Amino acid sequence: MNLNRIKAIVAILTAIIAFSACDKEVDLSGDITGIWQLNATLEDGVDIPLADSTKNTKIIFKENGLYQLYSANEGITRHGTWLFSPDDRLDMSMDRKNNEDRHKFSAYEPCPVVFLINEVNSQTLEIKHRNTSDERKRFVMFTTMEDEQSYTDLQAAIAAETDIDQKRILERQLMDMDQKMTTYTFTFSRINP
Amino acid sequence: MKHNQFKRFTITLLTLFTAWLVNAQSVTVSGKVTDDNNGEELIGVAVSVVVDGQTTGTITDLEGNYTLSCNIGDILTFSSLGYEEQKMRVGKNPVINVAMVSNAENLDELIVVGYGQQKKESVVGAISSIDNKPLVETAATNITQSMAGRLTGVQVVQSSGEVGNDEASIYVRGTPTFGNSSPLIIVDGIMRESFSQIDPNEIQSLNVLKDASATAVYGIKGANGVIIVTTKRGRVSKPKVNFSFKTGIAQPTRIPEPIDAYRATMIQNMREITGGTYSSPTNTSQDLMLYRTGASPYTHSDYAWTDVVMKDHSNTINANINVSGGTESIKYFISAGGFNQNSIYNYDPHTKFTRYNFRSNFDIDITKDFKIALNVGTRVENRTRPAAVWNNSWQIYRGAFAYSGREAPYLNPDGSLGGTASVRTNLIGVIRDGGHYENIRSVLETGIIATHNLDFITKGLKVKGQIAFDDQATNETRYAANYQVFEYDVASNDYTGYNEPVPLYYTWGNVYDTRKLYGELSLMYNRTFDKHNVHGMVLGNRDIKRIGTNQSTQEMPYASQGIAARSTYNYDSRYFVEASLGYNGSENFPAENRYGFFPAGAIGWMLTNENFFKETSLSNYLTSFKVRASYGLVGNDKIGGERFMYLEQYENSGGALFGTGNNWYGGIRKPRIENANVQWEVGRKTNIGFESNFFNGLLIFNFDYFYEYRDKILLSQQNTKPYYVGAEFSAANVGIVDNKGFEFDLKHSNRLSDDFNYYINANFSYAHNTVIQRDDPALALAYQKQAGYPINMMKGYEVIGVFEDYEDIENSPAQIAALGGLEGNNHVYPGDLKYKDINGDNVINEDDATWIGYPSVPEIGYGVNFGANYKGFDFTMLVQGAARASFPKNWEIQNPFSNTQNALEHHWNYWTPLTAGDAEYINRFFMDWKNNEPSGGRSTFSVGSGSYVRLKSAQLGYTLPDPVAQRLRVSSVRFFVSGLNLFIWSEEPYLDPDNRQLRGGNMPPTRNFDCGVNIKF
Repeated sequence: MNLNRIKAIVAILTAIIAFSACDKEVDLSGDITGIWQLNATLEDGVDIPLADSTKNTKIIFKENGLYQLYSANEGITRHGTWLFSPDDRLDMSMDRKNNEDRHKFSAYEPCPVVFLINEVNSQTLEIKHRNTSDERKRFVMFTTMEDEQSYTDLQAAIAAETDIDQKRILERQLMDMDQKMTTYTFTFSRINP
Repeated sequence: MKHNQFKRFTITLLTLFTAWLVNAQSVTVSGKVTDDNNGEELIGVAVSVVVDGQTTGTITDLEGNYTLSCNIGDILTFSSLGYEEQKMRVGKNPVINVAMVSNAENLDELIVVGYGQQKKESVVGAISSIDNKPLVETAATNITQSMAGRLTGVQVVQSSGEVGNDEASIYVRGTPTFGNSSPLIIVDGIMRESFSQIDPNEIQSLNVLKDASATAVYGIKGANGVIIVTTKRGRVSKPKVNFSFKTGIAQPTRIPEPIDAYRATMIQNMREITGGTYSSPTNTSQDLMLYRTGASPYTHSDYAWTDVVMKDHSNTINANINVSGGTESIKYFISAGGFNQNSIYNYDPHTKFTRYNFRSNFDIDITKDFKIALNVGTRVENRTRPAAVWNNSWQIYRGAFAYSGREAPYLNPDGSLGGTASVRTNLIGVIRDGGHYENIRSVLETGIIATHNLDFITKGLKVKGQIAFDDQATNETRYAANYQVFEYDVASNDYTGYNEPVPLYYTWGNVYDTRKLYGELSLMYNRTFDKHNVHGMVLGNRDIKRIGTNQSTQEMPYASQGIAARSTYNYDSRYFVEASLGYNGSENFPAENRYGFFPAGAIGWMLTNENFFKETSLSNYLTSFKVRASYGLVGNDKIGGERFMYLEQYENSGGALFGTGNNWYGGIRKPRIENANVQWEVGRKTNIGFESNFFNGLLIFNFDYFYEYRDKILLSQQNTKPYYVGAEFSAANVGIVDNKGFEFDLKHSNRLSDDFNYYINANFSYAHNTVIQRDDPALALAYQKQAGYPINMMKGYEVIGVFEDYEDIENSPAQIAALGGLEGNNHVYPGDLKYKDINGDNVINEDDATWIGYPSVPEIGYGVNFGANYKGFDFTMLVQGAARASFPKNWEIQNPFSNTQNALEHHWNYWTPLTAGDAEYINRFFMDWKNNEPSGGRSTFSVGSGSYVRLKSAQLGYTLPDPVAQRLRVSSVRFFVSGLNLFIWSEEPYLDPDNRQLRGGNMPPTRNFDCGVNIKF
């Protein structure tokens, strides 16, 4: 092995070590008040493309602790409250479906939701929330979230199943889907202050 | 001729010059000798000097002054019994004042023991002592607070800082019994109920007797230890007047911090939604927005009652003047003092505690053989409070952090009290407008002691008789009133009133009168024959106490009588033997068990007094070393409030229907089955220890190990009573507990120069008790029986974390006991508490409850006391701590919205999947706290730690220079500032760890700051 190759390997190793040793710093330099447009959503770090109906979702954080959310896929404006804590925690009251069975809800009720702020600066706001899939679907968390096709297919299969033991197995699978814990990340870009 | 004249002239000149030189070096030195501790003049101090090879000297007079002729450069030696010898070089200044430092290990010092005094050298029991200096200098509102951290083997727990009710609980070597473990209190030789309200300026010393040899003479009353308080007495001197005055503030140490309205509303909604059974939240989005913005303060108010009703501090004033002195025939000490503390609450015209103390002690030598002592101590305590909190301010203090500030404004725009139809309690109304309560207690404690030498019979024999009469009268009165609250309608500007207003009216009053008569006769013998020192005492006593209520009703008198004896012998101050016994009884026990016999013995050996030791090199630095051991029996007759348990008792109660009509006929019944064999508890105590002194008091180290086996402890038997028995059992003497531990103290003091001296004292105590036997159900699981665990532990579940997600729940034991006993973990959610499966059956239920935490009284106590003097400045500081103690937390102090509409600051940091690592609380706030923990029981989640370290006290003082004091025509003037409970570090973050009230409703101990002046005339 010649000297140049050794130098290259050392340089690469150094870069890897340096990169892995650095923690990504949370940029909280900005002010959350203002108008923001939803740019992207991730689930456990995987980008979930925004549907056309959700791309125009906007939120206004007012200085007095109130917010207005234009829920694009519902076509309505919702109102709520927000509070920013010094430990990069953001609490918001968000509308939650009011029936234990979220498919049978008749109204929304305000419930606190806790986010952690990954980044807020003059252009970008990125926040994350972690919860079960079932709870995420109850909330109008900037957008509503509908059941996946696999979920509705499984519901149909359960309804059609006559064997009790098999039915329980399918119900267990459905419960696992509902109870799956996921981190939801929302990225916004500032429209104006 | 001329030569001879010159020679004579020269010789004369030289002679005169020599004479002048000699005379110039002679000087008459004078000055005053005082006690470095308290500045008092010391009489009879030997002042000596070696002049021209001859020792000459003098002693200080009645004013502590001396005068002595010597030469410049000579060394004056000051020596006195009980003080360190001091040497001062004579300079050009003819005035040399000396402050002598007490020798902590003066073996000739007298120690107060049970029914007498003994030389420290001959004491073979375990005794801890403090003098009055820390009691006076601490910025405490109550003497008991000053004891914390200063005495080995003594634990002090102050669970309340309430004005007038801030007495601390004292435990001697832990809690070796389920019953009453409070020590016996002796004040000036007489058993008394309490000493906490005695003016500390009246106290000379406080001694705690801990082992059997020290307490056996008290028989059935000495098992929990004995605290002996000795008040000051006069000495032969001119009258000395001491005046002290201090004023200060007292602040609560820790107050729970309620959350603001917006955040309380947020988590209230979440609580209601996630409550296990689905429920709609109370608050709408509109409500949330109004709380968040504060836009509607009268419909959506936002304040904390703690900010509204609690002041930053209450004010205290303390003053005392005392005079002492005497002649050979009559010596006296007279003291008068007062204390006042006002309310810690705003809007409070009622709360106040005022105390006036008076004491006079006279010692009269009728003849050289016949002496009489007259002791009178009296005080008046006046406590007033709002009527609703006549017993204690729990309702106000608890309400201040539990009541929500969201439901109604505390005051309306027109100044009326705010309220609604459903919120009719307004704390301002409770405090200010609800009436008042007054409790006046007058205490008189008297004693006459007559002593006569019987040397005409045999040398050293003495007879002593004592009669004491105590009277305590309490007069309490309560007046109540009903206040109105008003709901303000912003739109119409109208007020709607609730509660029917009722003007002040008398509700009830009581008068209690307790009188006690005590008599004692004793024969004492004290003599030395060559190297044999003999002391003996035989004593008989009797006391009777009567309690009257409302000037008519009288309880059965309380009576006890007995005999005590003690004999001590020491040979050449090397070998010590002591035997003591108590034989006494109480009216509370049946005739065949009425009296108990409590013998004890102790031995000691002073190694350093042995000739062989004095010849070793060890003697160069080990000044004294004594090893001692004791064993004996002691008793505890504090069997709780129930009297005459051995008698059959009947009461008017119950009845039956007889005949064909609906005729009810009342009857009598037996409320409980008597215990014909009830007796006192018996403790068998062993103590082994040593006392050591290095380098003439430069370092002192004392150590004790103790073990006690206490049986015949009274227990209720509820756990083992068969369910089919339709009667209650009286308590029975079935409990057995052992208690063991060790304690030590380390002292160092030194004088580095004429102007600077310091001391450091450290003490450490450990006492651990174990239940050996109690009424555990026979079939109870072994780890659920209390046998094998300490007294006063809590039973519950051990929390090992919270469930992170559903997979975690799936892989954990089923929490069957959670949420109404549903099967499996169907109603267990991420963020719920996870419990330890104690028995490994993969199910969490009642079988997994075990003993958790530590006992309520700390097993470990320690203190480090530092003091220094430099010129006129003096400084003392005490760091005190406790460990291995726990207390339960429940209801409002533990769970949000538990019997209240409020939450505390730390509840906001609840668990979420994202913030789990920093969470201070769980995420599901249920209506009923029981649902947070299985089987309605407790878990380690709701157990608070009683461990802490406090900067307990600090004081800085300055004494004016003597010339300045003399110009003011006083003996000394000292200014000081002091503090108590200045800082606390504890595992418990929200409450004072001494606060033992389950719901956190006791006013916490206070942080006090004082400044004041001491003047001596």
